Amino acid sequence: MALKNGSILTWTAASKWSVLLLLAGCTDKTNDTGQTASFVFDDTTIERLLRHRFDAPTPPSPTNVVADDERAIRLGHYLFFDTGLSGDGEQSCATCHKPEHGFADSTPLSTAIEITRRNTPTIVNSAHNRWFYWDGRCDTLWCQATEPIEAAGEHGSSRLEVAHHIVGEPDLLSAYSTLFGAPPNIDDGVRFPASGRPNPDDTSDPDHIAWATMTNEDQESINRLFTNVAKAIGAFERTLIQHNSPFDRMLLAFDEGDRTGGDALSVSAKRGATLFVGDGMCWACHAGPTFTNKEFHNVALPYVEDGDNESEGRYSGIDRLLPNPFNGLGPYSDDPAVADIKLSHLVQSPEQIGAFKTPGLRNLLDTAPYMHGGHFETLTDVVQHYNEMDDPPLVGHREELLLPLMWTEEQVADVVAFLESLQGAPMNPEWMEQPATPLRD
Amino acid sequence: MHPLLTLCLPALWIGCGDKNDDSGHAQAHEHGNTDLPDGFDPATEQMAMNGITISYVTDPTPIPESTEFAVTFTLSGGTLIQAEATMPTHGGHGMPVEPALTDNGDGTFTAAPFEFSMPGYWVIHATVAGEDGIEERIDFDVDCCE
Repeated sequence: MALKNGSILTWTAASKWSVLLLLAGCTDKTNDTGQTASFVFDDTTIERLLRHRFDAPTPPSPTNVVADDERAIRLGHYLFFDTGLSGDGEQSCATCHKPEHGFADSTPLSTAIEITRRNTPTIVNSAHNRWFYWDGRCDTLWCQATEPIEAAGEHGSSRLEVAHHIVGEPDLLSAYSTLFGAPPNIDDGVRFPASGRPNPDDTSDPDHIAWATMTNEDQESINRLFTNVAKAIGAFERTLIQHNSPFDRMLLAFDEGDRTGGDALSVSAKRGATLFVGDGMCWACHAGPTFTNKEFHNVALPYVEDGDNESEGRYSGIDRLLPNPFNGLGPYSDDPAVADIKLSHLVQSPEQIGAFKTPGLRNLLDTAPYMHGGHFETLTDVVQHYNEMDDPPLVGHREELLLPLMWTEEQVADVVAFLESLQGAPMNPEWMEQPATPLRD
Repeated sequence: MHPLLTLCLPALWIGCGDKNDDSGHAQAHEHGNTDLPDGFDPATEQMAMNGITISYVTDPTPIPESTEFAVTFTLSGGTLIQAEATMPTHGGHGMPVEPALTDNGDGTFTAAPFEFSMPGYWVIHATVAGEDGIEERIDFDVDCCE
């Protein structure tokens, strides 16, 4: 095992014993199914676990004035499932963010019109994120919602097509107008072509050419409509909150002074919890209510077929974030001053090369496979990756806190049991399908 | 104790401490984690070598994790010329943001934004210039986050 300081150690019986010596807080390691009350947590472990309590309200979204408007939530809910936003009439946000899979996808790489190069992250609890996309190239949910609509392999549409769709559907037009005021009159097909968007990467793209024929004022009016659509979708996505897990019930037991944590978790899961905030130091990155520090790390993932193996991750994500006119600092933001604090002081450094966003760990039973390239099919595979850390990263430098955990098979299973205990109560079933109308009752 | 055992115990920790901290502050555990080191000093007021007293408060207090906050320093003299923060036990890595410094004109200086993206041991570094122009870095141990 190569350590950072260059020492080479041989895994011996002696060192394996040292793993066991590091276990703490466990008084009953034999019963995985019953008598969980016999397990007693130490004070440090309890204090650290309590720091993952999900009691924070959904953070405000000041760059989106309709973020908490019930009319916007309904419109966004409808649009989330609306295949009319796609070029081929068959894709919607739900194509990849499948409700039955925790609003993630069940395949390693997102698959819509084409197979993309990254795994679909869950939308559940995403209102608590600071950054969006695996590389953080958006700073708000509504910014995130703009890009897939125009991505050729995803919705394959354009902002002009979206505008015509909204204006052309009476219920959508009514819902939109009630919320944002009347949209621009786009009946003039010369001023407002049927399809068009800026595509500076391919100036021969007919959509780009069509967009270039428009006046700046008309382009601005379409951008406004397009971002309003995205803000409505973002408003719906903010409502997708899921917690109330067995882990949360254990925290309530701590509140009542029960140092065993009650019986919500198995002994195995309790041992895993102890490892998670103890020896494993997992909580250094997976901290807080949603079990993420919301930042980016290079965790030296292995090669994955057809995946984004050479990506610079957060490093290049910042390059895409800052010039994006749909970021929180841009002309379509409802509060650039707040976004200024977040965006104007970002540091771009080499340690971000190959770093991807720390995912939250709640509700993982719904969202396999895992990691930004769908690298691992099971949670055991994920923990085993950190257990072994066999290879250097394909790009950049591995997060310095990461060295092989060298846990036993039982310890790996314990941590997996703990992760499974973060599965929240089912969400409102109404969120799982398209409402009959975009208009609020 | 088996000699390998003494090596393996720290090796099991993920991470590696920066033992080359030149601040004279508490040294980290031999192999890094983000725990508070022995000798951790939570004091929010210190005196520089030139006699200038410097203290700080954060907004909000306590410091939130993975969220921007501001730090206002009060100096008994001289000028604050830089403020930043690092994790000594995390290879000395800093924050994902670079704070801007504002002279409030009343002996206080506000640096914002700060962001602590991991729990555990952080150090706020404040560089003070005395009336003679000589600079000195003052380090404050911080436990992130309550």
